[in-house]
Amino acid sequence: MATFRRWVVTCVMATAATLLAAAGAAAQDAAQVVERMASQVLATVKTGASDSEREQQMTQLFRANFDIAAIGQMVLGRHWNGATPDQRDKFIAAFEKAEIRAYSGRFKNYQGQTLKIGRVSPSPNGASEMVESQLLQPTGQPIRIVWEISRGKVIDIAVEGVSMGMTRRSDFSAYVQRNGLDALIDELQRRGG
Amino acid sequence: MAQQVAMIRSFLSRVRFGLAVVLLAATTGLGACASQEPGEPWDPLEVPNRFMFAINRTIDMLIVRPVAVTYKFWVPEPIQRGVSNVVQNLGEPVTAINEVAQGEPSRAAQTIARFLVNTTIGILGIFDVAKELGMPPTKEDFGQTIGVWAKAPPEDGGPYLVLPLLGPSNARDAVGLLVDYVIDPFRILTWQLDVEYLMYARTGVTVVDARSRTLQALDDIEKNSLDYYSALRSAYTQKRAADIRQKGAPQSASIALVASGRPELGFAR
Repeated sequence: MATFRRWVVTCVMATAATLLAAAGAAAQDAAQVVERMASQVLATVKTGASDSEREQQMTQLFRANFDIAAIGQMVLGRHWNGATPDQRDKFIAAFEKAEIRAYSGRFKNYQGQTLKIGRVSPSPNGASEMVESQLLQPTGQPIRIVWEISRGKVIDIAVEGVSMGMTRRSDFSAYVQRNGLDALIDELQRRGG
Repeated sequence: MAQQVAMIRSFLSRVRFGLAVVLLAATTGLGACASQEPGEPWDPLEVPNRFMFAINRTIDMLIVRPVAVTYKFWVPEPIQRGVSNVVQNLGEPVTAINEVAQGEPSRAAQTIARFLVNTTIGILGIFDVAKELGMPPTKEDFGQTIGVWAKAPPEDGGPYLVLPLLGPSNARDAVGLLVDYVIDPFRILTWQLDVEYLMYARTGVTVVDARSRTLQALDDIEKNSLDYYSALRSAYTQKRAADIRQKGAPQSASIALVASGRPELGFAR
């Protein structure tokens, strides 16, 4: 009996240790994803490449680090369920292009900002990791950015508590309600193309 | 002259009364909140809100934004920082009152200490000496205080409202603005001393300072959204909820869009 109890205790402890180690590793991985991406972005913006070159590099960066399918599905919200497979594919492709265009534009005026990585914690539902960070600016206050990482890729960014995914979802939802999903896809294609 | 002032005053008080009635009507609907989609702000007044949004946007485009752009790109950076510090300093008393109301006496004490240090050593708030002494700035308004004590989640501030000139708000934050205005010791003092023009000057400076700091963030939302109204409605609601949840933690970059704590977001500057 005593042996059995000792065996149970050992098992429980071993499992707990494994879980803790896994959680720790996940946290470290998530922070590394953000850290690596920040240095890649920095390297890209510092080269002073032309607009088209930078956009090409940003496309690669974006594809390597963002789970665009997951983001696209979240952003389309309930309209995702009503969409045909063809509409979904077209939407994801157009959305990706528009987002890359938007990010390339944002990094155009790089002025020496750096990203300081902070605490990593599991998301409320436990399905992803939240990486806290601060964008330090040469002038003005630092900007608080939280990265949501799932399976090694970014699925959302919250800037000063404002989730880009949620904002986009409100935006798209209003547009689809007024103009329909096909109009949304057309508009995104126009913006990204 | 005195007659005109009296007339304006009675007009203003009537406007304020009307606003209070509208807000009261709006807040009574607070409990009955149910949004169509989870995470979407409740906006039963969307049609009038969009109308007001269009008017505000026109005023912003014609007057506020050009002034803010000129200010940001032509006024030297140290002066802008000084102006920003003065605006922050004049807001400290209201922040302190709200921190007390939120049950944070130690933070309120620090805010009062900041106010005393910056008003004296910092020369009327031009220099944020207190920050160098390890007392970082905070900003709390009565909308946040209601949010802290309300049973509803901070995303639920009652019906979303677009206020004339002031922009994005909701029932909770509009009531908050009104309360902050009424309890503001600086306003009461200027009224008592009959130097109300100081209050108007402060409002003007606050608007320019706030708008110049949100240029890049709002431009980004406008440029990258398909429905600017909805995107801003969502961003505003999320930002306010984050501010309410963050109670106690020092706010690294709480930057005003209008008169009191409003969102700033964006990447490069």
